[in-house]
Amino acid sequence: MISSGTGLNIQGLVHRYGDKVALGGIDWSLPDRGVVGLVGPNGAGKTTLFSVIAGFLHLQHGSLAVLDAPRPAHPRLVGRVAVMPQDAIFARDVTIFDQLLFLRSLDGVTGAQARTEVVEAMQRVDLEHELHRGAAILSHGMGQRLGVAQAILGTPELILLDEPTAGLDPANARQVRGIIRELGRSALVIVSSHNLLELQEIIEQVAIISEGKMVASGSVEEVTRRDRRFEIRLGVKITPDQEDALRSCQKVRHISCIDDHLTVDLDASGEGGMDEALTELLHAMLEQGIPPRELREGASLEEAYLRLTGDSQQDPADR
Amino acid sequence: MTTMLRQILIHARNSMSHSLRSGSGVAFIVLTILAGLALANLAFAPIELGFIELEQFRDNAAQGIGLVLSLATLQQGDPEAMLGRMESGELVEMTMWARYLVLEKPMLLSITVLLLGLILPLLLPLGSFAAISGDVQHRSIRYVLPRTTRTSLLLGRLLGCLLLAWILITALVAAIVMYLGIVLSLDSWDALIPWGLSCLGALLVLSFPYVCLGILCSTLCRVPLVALFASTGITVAVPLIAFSARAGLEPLGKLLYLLPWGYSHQLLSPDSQTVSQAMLYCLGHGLVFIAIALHRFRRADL
Repeated sequence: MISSGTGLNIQGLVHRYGDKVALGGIDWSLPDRGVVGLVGPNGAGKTTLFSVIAGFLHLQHGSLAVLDAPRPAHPRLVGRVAVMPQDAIFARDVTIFDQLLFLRSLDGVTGAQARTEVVEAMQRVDLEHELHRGAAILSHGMGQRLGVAQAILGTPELILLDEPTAGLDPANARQVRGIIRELGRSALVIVSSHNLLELQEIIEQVAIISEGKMVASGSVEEVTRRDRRFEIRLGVKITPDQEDALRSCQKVRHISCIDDHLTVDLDASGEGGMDEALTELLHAMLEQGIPPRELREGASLEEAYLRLTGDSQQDPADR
Repeated sequence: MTTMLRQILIHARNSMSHSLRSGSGVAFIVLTILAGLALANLAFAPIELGFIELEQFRDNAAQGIGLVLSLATLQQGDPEAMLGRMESGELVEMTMWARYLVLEKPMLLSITVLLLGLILPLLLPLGSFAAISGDVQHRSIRYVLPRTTRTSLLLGRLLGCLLLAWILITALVAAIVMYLGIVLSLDSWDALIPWGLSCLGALLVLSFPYVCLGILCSTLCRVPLVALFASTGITVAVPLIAFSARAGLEPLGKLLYLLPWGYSHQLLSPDSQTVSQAMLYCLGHGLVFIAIALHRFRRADL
């Protein structure tokens, strides 16, 4: 659920590393609640953007208002922003419990309440049994979950998660996605990920960044409107004539068939949108005597990503 | 303001407890205690083992301390010439100062504290070099920054390092005074305790600028080892360069004042006004280092 308040307002943000322009004039405005995806190829500027928003990097040029503060790292934001950085590590020689307790105590919460909150945060990521051990013993996936636990500690209003499910097994990844969805009801959660299929499940808005520029931003629907792909499993192999008949449908932009798998890109830009386009396709299939056995909405965000970043030759998850 | 103060105290406590568990913190604690006790032993051994008569030791000590004070106050000439000038009664102020330390005050305590004043500046960076750079290197600072201000973080870490150093120095001086009073019994408790407190005060004040220097280097260098080499390197290099440069051009000896080397000995002066002045210099020096560190840290990309 996206609310009407402003959580983030970026205007003309430019960030350079020496001569290299990492962010070349970013404008981005986000509400104060909801889950937003930030995607882009490696080196596109996602982590730089995260770091500027979090106040890790000095604001070089442009304006950046976070929540009700006029700039990042404003004293007014202390304890209201939580970050799960991609490459940060916890101290190896201090127990996880003590480290989380220390972080929570900075927010002004101490004693029994802080201890309870730490235990609850660790329970939410299934790590409560590791509480009194050092971070050195954690596997990569456990370290990721610990990063999520520290980010959800307290009641942050802006949460920045850099690749929160990277390296997690499917069960834990699902659990973290559930947590993110829940957090999005009361806070603005910005998630950076290369896993677009997964991201599509949890986000309401998306921004695609490429070579330091924001090439698209808005609701997932807006960004992917022109890129609706469906994968259809058929009971039989279709003939070239049947394939031509389906291709001739007005709303079909592209069609390809391998064995009994049909991949169709639909044009959902008309008044009837996706429903009309899909209905037309299914009618045509039934008219041709092709019964669909299984229909799955394809990686439309991925398609939008590939189109907008010009990376069609490469799977973004592999980059 | 209350939030900032609370956060400073939390950072200080965290910094101290981390020092007790981390390798560099434990190394700092152990080395400081060992070095302090070794210096005390070095000062006590000739008397304790009967290698030298007390009076002869006192004369030699007065001469040695006079020479050190002459060097530290940038008196003209080489060490040999300085000794000659002292014997001829020329450097009367230095002679009086040295005699004050060995005759009027418990001699062994004075000598040990003077030696500690030379060694502590080299040891103190061990306790502060990783205060900021350690977290920056591993980026664990990124977990902390959203929950605090950079000013609170830096001042808290400074306070933590300072408190740890002060606890160690206090423990060392207390151990030395106890040993002098109980085992050697050369001076009465009435003489030892007030002078022990004065010496403790001098060392605590002296430690402030050097801990601040360690914090400054920890802020400027992103790699802890570089910060350690920088802080100890600067501490050693300043007197070396000052004395070498002075041989070529007398005014270059003033380079010694880049660090408290130029006036730290004044903390044990018989003149209370000189002591107060030296304390203010130490405080000012430390504040300058911290102001630079804060300026740099608040604008740094982390």
